[in-house]
Amino acid sequence: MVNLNAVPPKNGRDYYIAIGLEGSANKLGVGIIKHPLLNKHDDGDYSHDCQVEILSNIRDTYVTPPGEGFLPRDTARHHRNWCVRLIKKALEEAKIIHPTLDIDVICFTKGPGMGAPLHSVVIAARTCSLLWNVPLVGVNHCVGHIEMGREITKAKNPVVLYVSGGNTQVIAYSEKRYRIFGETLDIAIGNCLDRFARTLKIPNEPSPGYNIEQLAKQCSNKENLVELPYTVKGMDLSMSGILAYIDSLAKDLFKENKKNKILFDKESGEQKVTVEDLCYSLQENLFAMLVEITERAMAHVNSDQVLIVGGVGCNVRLQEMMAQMCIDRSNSKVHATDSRFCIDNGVMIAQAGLLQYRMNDVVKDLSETVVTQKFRTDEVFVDWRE
Amino acid sequence: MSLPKAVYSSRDIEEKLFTVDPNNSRYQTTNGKTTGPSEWVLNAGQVDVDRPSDPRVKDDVSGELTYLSKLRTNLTGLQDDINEFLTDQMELAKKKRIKNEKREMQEQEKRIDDEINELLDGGDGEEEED
Amino acid sequence: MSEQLVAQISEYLTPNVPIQLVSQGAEAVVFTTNVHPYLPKESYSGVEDAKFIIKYRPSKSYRHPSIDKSLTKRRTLGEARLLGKLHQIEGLHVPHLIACDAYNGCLWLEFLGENLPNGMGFSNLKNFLWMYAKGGNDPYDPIVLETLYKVGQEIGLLHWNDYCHGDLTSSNIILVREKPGSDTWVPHLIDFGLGSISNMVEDKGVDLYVLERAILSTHSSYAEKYNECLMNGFSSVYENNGKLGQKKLKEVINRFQEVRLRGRKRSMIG
Repeated sequence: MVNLNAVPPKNGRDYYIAIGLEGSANKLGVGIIKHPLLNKHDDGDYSHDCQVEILSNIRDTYVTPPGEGFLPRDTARHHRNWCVRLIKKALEEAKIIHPTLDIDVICFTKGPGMGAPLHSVVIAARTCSLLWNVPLVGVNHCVGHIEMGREITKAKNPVVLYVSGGNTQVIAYSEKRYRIFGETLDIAIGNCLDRFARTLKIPNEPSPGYNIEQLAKQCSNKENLVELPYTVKGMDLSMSGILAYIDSLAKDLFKENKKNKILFDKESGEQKVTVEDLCYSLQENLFAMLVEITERAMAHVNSDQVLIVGGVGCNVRLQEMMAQMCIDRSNSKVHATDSRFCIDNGVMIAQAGLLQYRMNDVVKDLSETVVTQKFRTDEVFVDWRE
Repeated sequence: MSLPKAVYSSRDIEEKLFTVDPNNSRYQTTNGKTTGPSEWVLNAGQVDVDRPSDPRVKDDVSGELTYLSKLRTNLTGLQDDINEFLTDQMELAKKKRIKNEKREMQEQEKRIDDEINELLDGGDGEEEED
Repeated sequence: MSEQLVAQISEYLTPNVPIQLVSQGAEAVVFTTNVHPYLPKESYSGVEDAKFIIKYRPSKSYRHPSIDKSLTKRRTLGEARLLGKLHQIEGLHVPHLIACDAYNGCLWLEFLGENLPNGMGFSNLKNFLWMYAKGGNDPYDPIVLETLYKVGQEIGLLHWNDYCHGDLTSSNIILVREKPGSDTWVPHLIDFGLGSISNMVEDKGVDLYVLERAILSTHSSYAEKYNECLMNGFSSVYENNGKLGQKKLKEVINRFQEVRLRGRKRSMIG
């Protein structure tokens, strides 16, 4: 049986406080959370129900000019120069005056992600740990998303679709691991959308994927979908071919290449397809693939709950399609969170990290805090679940 | 106040010490030479809003920097020293690699030349058997 | 299964075709029926409880209608073609294709298998192994070992001819008696929904790994011996094909072991 109360809160308090630092990609997040000490956690699988209270959730995104992606070096610089300011703001908002007394654990993202930005943030985490004399916990970024999603939606044992700039995975829990049932064979969905946004030269603010979603909504020709490759391979999918193809269409559109019969009328040379149409078709195609592999996983593990996490999980059209599938399949509901939790944040790292801490899984030596670009979801031993 | 220092060691270099000279302007700023935004994004029209905050002066009349601000300025210079050193090391390694590759290429070209010459000479490369 | 789905199927099949649900996967729903799609009733109604399989790919309302139509058509047609080709391979057993309506996502297939005695369920490999694992029976009965060897041979033939199944579990292998009442079973491979033509060792390695996992998770106590029999049968097909066979067998086995080590999935950057 799982005992989440094995490690008592500091100073005889009846609650735990954790701070989480996230910076695996272009978002820097600091979050502070509180878990009340509950009797039911003595014995049983209630890790999805910690009655978490969010004391602060501060985020700052490194934004690049239209048409440009974020480079590791500049992203790391952004995190380095903002980290202290964000931590201060988070502490202030959470009304924590003495971190040494009031914080049980400092949680940081150990991976996966971009090396340089991860590194910037872990240095801040180590420094705080030494400064305040508070233990450290390294968290798997994907597990952070899953645990935050479970806590917010109270979904006990869902099939998880994790969709972000760096990841595309269908995950289900089994025997102490979050197992990957299907995943991308090449690029991640968020990466695919970001790169298409760059080809279109649309702004990176608030996020390229959000801007594609808005353009797709404006599509006035929804009946005539632009046909794109549909590349589901069993439980996996690939997206680089789709991106290369739609990129070439967009380039032909900008060049007004009238030879392209998909974009321009054969006789009149009139333009048939707009940028909005391309965005709409791309979304419809990619999301249909995602929903399909999610349904496969549900059939496999006999589950009727779905939880969508990760930045792309904010997309309303994706949520809509997933909801429709759940209704058709078993009259069930899809669980999704809003942008506060879907997009990378510090709170999710604090949530997963605090669960780990309560199971007495802490860093014993600073050498264990080395961050890693590659860190698979199923490498984590999930001892806080049955 | 003791000054920060750093030590680098590797297979080729036993020990390289980096120290701070508090009187050198290099160690008195938070704007490092190597820690700015990359030229790439600046050329793409990036407005730099991610600069480190300026060092803070103590509230008293001394006009001195606060302890942490002083430490930050020292570290900025120290980081520049380390970055420059590491960049040099990378350049060295790169040069060495290019030299090695060049040598290998030359050797390979010579080998192929030799083989062709041998063939042209009607040499004894491969005898055909019937 | 939602009522909407049932309505969709019934409308397509008309009341003249009574159906009974067998299983619902993510992509397709499988039914049995006693009506043949085009033969006159007299030609088979004499046969005692004539049965056919209907595999139906329902339209999915979550995806755009044009994606849905083209996928349904492509996949149904693909599976029908694959079955047609597999059927021509000597020694390989797959269900006969009776009819294919690609536009409506419907396949009619030969019904295979029977109900095992003593309420042990339908005669797929999974239930068959369970029957022999239950009290009073010998889990290592020669019939069991021989059948597993033959299953291995079927998969060997499939792979040797550069086809992959894509979802090789013990419920996707149906056992059919050689003759009524006989104790010799002929394994048939079913459900090629994820099947493909592939000469990639990776796909073959994954196929073998998926089957090994299936045996391990449902028949763990005897899995070692069972998997050994399967692999012996599998290898025998390659070994009968001389030096080239030996070489290819080695490649497949090596990849299989690699897949097993990494647990199917490749490592990737986050």
